[in-house]
Amino acid sequence: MRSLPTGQYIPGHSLLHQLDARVKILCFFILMAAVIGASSLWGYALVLAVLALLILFSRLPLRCAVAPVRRISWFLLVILLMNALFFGGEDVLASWGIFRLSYGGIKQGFRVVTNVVLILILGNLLTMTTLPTQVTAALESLGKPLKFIGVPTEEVAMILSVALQFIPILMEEAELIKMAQTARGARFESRKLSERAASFLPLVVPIFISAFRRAEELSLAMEARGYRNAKNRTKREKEPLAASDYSALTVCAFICLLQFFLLP
Amino acid sequence: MAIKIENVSYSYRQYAGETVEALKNISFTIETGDFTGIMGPTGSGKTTLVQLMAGLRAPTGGRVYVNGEDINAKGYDKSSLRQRVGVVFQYPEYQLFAATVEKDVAFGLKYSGLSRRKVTARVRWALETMGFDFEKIRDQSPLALSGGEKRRVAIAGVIVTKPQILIFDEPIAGLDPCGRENFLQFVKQMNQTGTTIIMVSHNMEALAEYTRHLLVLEKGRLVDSGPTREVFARLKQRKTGVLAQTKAQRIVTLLAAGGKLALSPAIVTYDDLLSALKQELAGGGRG
Repeated sequence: MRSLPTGQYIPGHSLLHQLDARVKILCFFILMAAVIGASSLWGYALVLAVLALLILFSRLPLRCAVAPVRRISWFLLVILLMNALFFGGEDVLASWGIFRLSYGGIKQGFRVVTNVVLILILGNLLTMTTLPTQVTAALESLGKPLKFIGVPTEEVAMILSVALQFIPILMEEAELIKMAQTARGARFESRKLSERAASFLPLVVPIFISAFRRAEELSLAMEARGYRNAKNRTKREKEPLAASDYSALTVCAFICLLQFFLLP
Repeated sequence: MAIKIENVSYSYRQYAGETVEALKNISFTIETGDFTGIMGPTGSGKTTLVQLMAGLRAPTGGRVYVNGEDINAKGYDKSSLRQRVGVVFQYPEYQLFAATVEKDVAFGLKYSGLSRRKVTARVRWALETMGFDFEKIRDQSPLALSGGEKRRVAIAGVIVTKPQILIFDEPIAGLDPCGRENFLQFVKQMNQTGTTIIMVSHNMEALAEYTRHLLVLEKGRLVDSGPTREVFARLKQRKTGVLAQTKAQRIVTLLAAGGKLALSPAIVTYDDLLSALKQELAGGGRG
């Protein structure tokens, strides 16, 4: 069950780890725009070079940084095929019934797949170098303006952080329950689909029950410690942005401008 | 022999490339029909060892034999192992899932090939062994039962396959004193009918009183093993901390420390202590 960690935080002291989470999230969106804005080979060369540098700066093993791409490689293939076969376009290479393979479609397919891959790796770098709690705190802080139009940003951030905390706990529990049911004879790895399907319920029901149980316990514990929503809560960590944070933002903004205004 | 562990190591993979060694080169043998206890502080690798013995994890080094067969060898029939080795994990009540108690307990017999009548008979036996009235409980939802009842239903779901080897991972944690006593009596009874029992526990009294052999784990290493009494006597000398002693042993130490009463260092259980004290009284009467 635990193979390569994808998107999971990996502790470290690299340049990327030390940047403020708010800045990292903003940079993520700016660079995402730069990826989507790339329209020529030069444009892609630029974002690829930036991504390579970021991976280098993060000091994460390349294997981990690109792990999520391998996970969804089948999905990527489907995107590529769908684009290539349905995009239409003038220069049709071949056609069978409703399928029309065109040069433009292939190009479009590769573009979409490249964009998805690059953004996926960017997002992966963000979550691998930032603690989940930092991410939610940063989202809360960045979302403050939304409060004026009635969005309960603090509650949303609380829900997010609680949900994030539950993921590893539930994963671990799922593994234990899977083992317990395997010991009782459940066949999760059987070649027969019917046997695998029969093992599904003994796994899912206990996980749901335990999720509800934990949620109830947590809500009671929070209430017992005086949590009330719609109250301005104080932060435990309040750090101003450092010079490196400002320079990271500037560099990312510059890359984005370069992409949109200078490159063909 | 029921289980033979040969130079077994196990490491968990953590972050990129980092590994944590949970078990380091462990070897021991558990004879058929024995009652073996496993003790050690939290994080010493007890649960990992249980999972290896049940064939739920494959060791990263070494071999695990059950009834003389290497259970991780290619072509070994794991499903027959599931029928022969039963495991009761910590908080087994969390694995209940079916709509009725009867269905939940019968889950372990799904692939046994037994007829419907025989399955029902087995389920009845398992639930009655765990102290239930079969007709009353069979159609109830297992999730609506009390905590203690849920645990007994879950255990019934494990013993229903009549395993030759039963492994318990901290089975008495969270039980009230009465439930604990009943449970240990049940385990003793299972052992007397020929089932090999392996029990992981932090409860020194239960280990001292019920097990015949003891394995002591510390930081993934097997630091001591042998007949229970001998191991307890050695642990006392090692002074690995007060947790590794029974209360009777601690009372003997306290009495000796004040220079008040020197009793035999071989005392491990309350029964030992009681008979030693009786002897002391009788001796005192004579002198």
